[in-house]
Amino acid sequence: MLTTLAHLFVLGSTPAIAPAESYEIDPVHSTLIFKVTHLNTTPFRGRFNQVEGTVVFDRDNPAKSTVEVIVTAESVDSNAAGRDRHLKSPDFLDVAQFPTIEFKSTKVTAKGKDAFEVTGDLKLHGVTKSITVNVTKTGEGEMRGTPIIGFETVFTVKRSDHGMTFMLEGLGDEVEMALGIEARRGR
Amino acid sequence: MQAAVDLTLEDFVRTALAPGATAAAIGLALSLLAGRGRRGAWILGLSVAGGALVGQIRTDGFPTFPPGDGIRWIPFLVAGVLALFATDDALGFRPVPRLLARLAALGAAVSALSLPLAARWERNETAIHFAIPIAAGLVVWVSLDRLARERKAAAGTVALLVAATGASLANLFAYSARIAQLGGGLASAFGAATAVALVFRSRPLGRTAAAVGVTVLLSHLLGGVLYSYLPVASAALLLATPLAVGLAPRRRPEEPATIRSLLVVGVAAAIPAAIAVWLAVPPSDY
Repeated sequence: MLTTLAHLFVLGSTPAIAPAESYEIDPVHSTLIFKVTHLNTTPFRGRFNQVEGTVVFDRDNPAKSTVEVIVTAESVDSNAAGRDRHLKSPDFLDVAQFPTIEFKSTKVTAKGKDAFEVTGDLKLHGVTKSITVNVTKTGEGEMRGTPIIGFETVFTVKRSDHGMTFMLEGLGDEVEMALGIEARRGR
Repeated sequence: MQAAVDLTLEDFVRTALAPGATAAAIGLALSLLAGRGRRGAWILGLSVAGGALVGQIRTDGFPTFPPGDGIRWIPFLVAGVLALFATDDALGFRPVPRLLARLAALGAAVSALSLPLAARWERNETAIHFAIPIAAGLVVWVSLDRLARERKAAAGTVALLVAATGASLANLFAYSARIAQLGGGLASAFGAATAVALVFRSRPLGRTAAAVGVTVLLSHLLGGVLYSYLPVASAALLLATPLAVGLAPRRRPEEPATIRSLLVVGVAAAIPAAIAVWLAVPPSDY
């Protein structure tokens, strides 16, 4: 009986561990902006309008968190229809052959309050490369009674690393990506 | 499209000159070695293949295996077609093996360009996407071969030069400067082959040149239709353009090609090519 009481005491005094929270990325409130230098002169920004995916966020053990982001390459938007077609062509994104840009995390490390280092596989133009990005949790809230959570990150990729080697003199090799995601708690 | 044209004009010239220079060097060197006469029917084909490969390298870099996308299969296709049909020119295949070789080459070209997308097609869509380009390519190829055999090689190279130029321009308007540059390289190679054919006037066009011309042209057109915004009608007109060689008069091997006959072929080829380019011009500019 003493043993049983001791066990109950231990269990009673162990702090409750919150389960990992599963979120679905809200495409309407998430954005992916890209910045690339035109003719070595001007930084140009465009966006991708369709960003989807999931976030599993473990507050108590961030290392168990995961994130998966899927961007529809055809949703590229540079505010000019002709240029959008050029970006979608085999010269650059080749969306017919490579319809999505995907990121899947393999490791998450907490770096401080609301700061994380996320390593994962970025698949762009059919080529997968491991990248590590710094992610900031930008906030939490509620929308229509559903918990929401926000993250953002800025990172740079070389398009030539992903097989996009055309016109490197005209449109820079380095592409800066600024991703802001808002995700709502799944049911 | 204004920005794309401005950006690539210098590149365009640069990437077109190298293939032409390569094709001219190969064609002239081998022709001098082979001497005048009808020997070396594969020479023009080898020179065009060399020029086209240089054009691909200038545009896409050295080929890697496996290729990163459908268009990067073209150098391997050129190598295979060159090996197969240079053998045909040298040894003379019987009709059935030749037909099978052509079907294999066309099948390889269509597969290389279409397979990355085939998983998304319904079964009947896949059949159509494969059968129509292969059938069209075969009809053009057989016809071109038959028409070119009794005519001066320069007439064949001019017809293919115009087709490749039209494909290049049409793909440029269809938002792919990359495929346009590849087409420019092919056109430049056929331009050089024309010069070689005029100097060594007994040299036939050869099955190799027709093979390289038809399969690479088909690949550029399929690339434009499947991956960019090239209208199918443009592609069909451009694929048929080389048949203008039939308007050149029949000539004996020792007779020179006349400028008039080359002009007739050039203008006749330019008509469907120009229509194809016009169809590819987009309604809006950027």
